[in-house]
Amino acid sequence: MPSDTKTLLDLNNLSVRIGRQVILNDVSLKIRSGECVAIVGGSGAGKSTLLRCLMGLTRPAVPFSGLLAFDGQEMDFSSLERQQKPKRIAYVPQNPDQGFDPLKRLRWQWQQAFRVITGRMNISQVQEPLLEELGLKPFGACFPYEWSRGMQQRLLLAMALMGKPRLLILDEPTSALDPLIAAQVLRAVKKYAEMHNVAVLIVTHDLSLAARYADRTTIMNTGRVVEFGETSHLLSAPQSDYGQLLVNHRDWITKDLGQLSSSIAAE
Amino acid sequence: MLSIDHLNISISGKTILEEVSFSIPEGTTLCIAGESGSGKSSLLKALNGLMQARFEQLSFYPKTGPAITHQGRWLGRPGLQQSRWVMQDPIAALNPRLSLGASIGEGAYSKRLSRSERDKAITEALVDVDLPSALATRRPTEVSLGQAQRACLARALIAQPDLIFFDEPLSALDAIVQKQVAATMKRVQARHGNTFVIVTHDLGFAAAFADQILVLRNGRMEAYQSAKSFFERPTSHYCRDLIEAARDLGSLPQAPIIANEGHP
Repeated sequence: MPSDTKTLLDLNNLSVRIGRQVILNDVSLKIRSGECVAIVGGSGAGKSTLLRCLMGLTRPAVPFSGLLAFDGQEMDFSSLERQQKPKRIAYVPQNPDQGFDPLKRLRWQWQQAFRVITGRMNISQVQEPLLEELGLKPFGACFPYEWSRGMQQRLLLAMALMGKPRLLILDEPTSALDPLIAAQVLRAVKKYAEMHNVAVLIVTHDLSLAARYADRTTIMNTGRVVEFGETSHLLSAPQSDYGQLLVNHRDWITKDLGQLSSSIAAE
Repeated sequence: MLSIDHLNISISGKTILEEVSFSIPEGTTLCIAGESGSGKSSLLKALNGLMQARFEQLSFYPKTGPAITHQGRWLGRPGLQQSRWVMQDPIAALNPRLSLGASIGEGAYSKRLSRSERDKAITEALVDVDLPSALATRRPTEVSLGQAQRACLARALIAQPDLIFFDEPLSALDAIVQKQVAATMKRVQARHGNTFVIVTHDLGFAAAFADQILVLRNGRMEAYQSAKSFFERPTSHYCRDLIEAARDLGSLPQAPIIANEGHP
């Protein structure tokens, strides 16, 4: 448990629509500083839309109600004015193919990120300790493909951490990567988060991953939050039907597969 | 059912797979694991005749029809008769202009069925994979991912193959649907006694499903063991890392406390 239990992010009653379809319905979320929260839900549950709204990306999803307080900044989603994006939230995409431009050298991409975050050009001082912390060697004039995917993903992480975020968002850290690489990245995140008191938000469809890392877990289904609570508590006594289903089917081995199918058919 | 001795693939001087050998008894499951770029998909392609390979010996004993044994270079077109392939992304694998029923019917093309026989076979295949037969008239965009993947399985099953290849059959699906589709696969295998070759990188799935596990790394065989002994006594350092990583990600339960034997 984190010693500092100040609320870092407080999202209240966010509702979002795309076109006429309501994607998110009264979603509320609280993240304390330094803790790890997981959002779990199947495809189409609205996880990615929620993420985009947290980062202030309001297209194509249009929020029409909701209040976000993050680290002293406030955002009111119900007003139509152009919002300022919340600062000090960092985002690591699913896989390095999304995160890097394959035709630009790593040094150039790093400089771009640095310039956007600090407004300065000189990068030499910041680079070294952060890379060393993540177990990366300094890059020369390399292209992304010259590095292994695990290293690319950790470099993306380094770029995300460059602005000293208070909240780090990982989008499906395991689904697009080999287990070896994903485990490597998650270990790096965990180590960094503990050292620097950074809150981590993991978005995943896999409850077993959440069970392994998250202090608290949110379960989403069809645009609603169906459960939110301490992970251990949630695993032992899920309140909703969907939560029950997820908890029962989180492991491959715990249940005989044949038995599993009949229990699903009964749903 | 299928046995491969010393398979080699090289493309323009670069070796993709080197000295891969395995044999699968009838009605069992072989899981092929390994990181991306280790040659898993190349292996499937070679067996299906989409890639040129060189074998010391390839033997295939289908339940019906003549046995195939082959030596040397093999383009293999049209691949192994009596085998079918289920792909990774069901939406990409199905023709968007055809109804699911028509797509599934194509699987039985070589059987020269009459229309009524074919319709009956399609219904049977749909029931086999736990789909309602009314789904036959829908297009791939009108069904969920899990249903589309089941339809792909039905398309393979309609030809009554002895051997089915799966290329990461579950990685496009979310956690609950993965388990539902896996359960369907298990039931299909129990009912028809097909032999499965599954490429996956989810070791939790492999642990629940496989009889044998083959781990590839940089085109070489890193391990080839029965699933039980692989998880209890991994032979190499790399395999131990793989299992460790799967535990870290929660897809395998935490290690039971076993006394550490030998040295890494």
